[in-house]
Amino acid sequence: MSEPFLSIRDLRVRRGGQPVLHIDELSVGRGELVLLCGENGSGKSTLILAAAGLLDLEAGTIHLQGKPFHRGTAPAPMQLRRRLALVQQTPYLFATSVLRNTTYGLRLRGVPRPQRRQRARAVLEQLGIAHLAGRRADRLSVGEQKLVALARALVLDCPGLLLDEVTASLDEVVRERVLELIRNLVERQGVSILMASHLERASADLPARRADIHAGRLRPPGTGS
Amino acid sequence: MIAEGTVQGISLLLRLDPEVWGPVWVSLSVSLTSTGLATVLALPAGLALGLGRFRGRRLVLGLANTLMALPTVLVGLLVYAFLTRRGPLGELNLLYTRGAMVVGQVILAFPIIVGLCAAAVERADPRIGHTVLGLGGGRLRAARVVALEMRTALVAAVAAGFGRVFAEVGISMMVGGNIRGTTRNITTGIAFETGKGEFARGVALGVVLLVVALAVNLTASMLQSRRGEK
Repeated sequence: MSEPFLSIRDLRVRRGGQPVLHIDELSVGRGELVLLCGENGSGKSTLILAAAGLLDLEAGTIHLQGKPFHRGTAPAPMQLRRRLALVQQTPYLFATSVLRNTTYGLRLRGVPRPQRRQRARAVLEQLGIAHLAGRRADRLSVGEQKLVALARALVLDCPGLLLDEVTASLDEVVRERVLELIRNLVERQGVSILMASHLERASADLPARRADIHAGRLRPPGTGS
Repeated sequence: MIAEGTVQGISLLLRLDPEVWGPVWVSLSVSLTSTGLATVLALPAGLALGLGRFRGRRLVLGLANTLMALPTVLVGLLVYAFLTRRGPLGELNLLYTRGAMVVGQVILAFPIIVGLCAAAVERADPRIGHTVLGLGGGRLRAARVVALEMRTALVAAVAAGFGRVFAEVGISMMVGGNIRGTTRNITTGIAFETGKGEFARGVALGVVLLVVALAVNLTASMLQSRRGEK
């Protein structure tokens, strides 16, 4: 059996001295979508940030493609972090154009300007926001900002994605388009995705394995939400 | 006497009196140099203190905050002890030069800029760093982006440092020596001119000090309020 893409074991995170996350085991297979479900404050975003290697861990290990990725103090090594792209629940967009925001990760990787602009435009087109390319990203509506943040992650072509509430604040048509895109990424391109969502119905049609989280702990499968 | 002195003082300013504008030039050149040097040293230190996580960070931060209220005469005494002929750095012959004033003012401005800079980046939205790291950037890149995003607060920190060194008198008097045409600046000039009864000249220097201090503080508050609006 092949190694999972992302594997989390005995993960414990504290904030302000209080335990906020205790995950015994969670894995995301290659080309698998794991849907993290739970109410607000259940620990979904904390788990996503921890999986991205951005939080200090009190205990536990995270493996990425079979290699030790993160334990102890954040951040995890850059070369491994570059195999994952993160979209935060409330994305932070730089006070510059949508196009420059979208190409940011490619700039960090040293991709030449013509290629990165071309790739960014293609992703913006795919998400239906190519017309916003020249607009100031931080002045867009919440839904548009979510799409820009998603474009900024998708343009990197990473084998893994960590998506935190990416479909929240989107209208129904746009949400369907994003969910279709996610389905394609998993089924056709074999991208591994850990996606947090409290809108379970909105993501019900996705080819996903569901993991329910409550008070910072995963519920055993079959116990409901 | 006050009204008469004020009128005469403003007249001296307008007539470009060298005994007034000479000390103004010394104040500006020394304080801008010392603030520039302190900024180069303090910004990286402030970023490291605000964003880094290492043992003793809180202690160093507390120390920086305490030293923000460092008495200028104490700094003057310390620098004097090092630069005096029999001191460890006596061979440099810096005592009673603008160089000595710069050294003292750097010591004065450093903890102010470090403390305010660290507080600014510590308050920065954690999503900024997470965004850079989450898209594949390194820690230094993340620190640079946080600093850029918080630039107005950092400029305000530097302005506060400049305001403090521009208005100080203890260091300039002790290690500058108030030498006419060389180390006499606005603050030591005010003390000297008033002491010898040249009240008008003291007022003229005071007006410049007030205008510069006001301009620096207004700029700092404007930058802070612009940040608040964001």
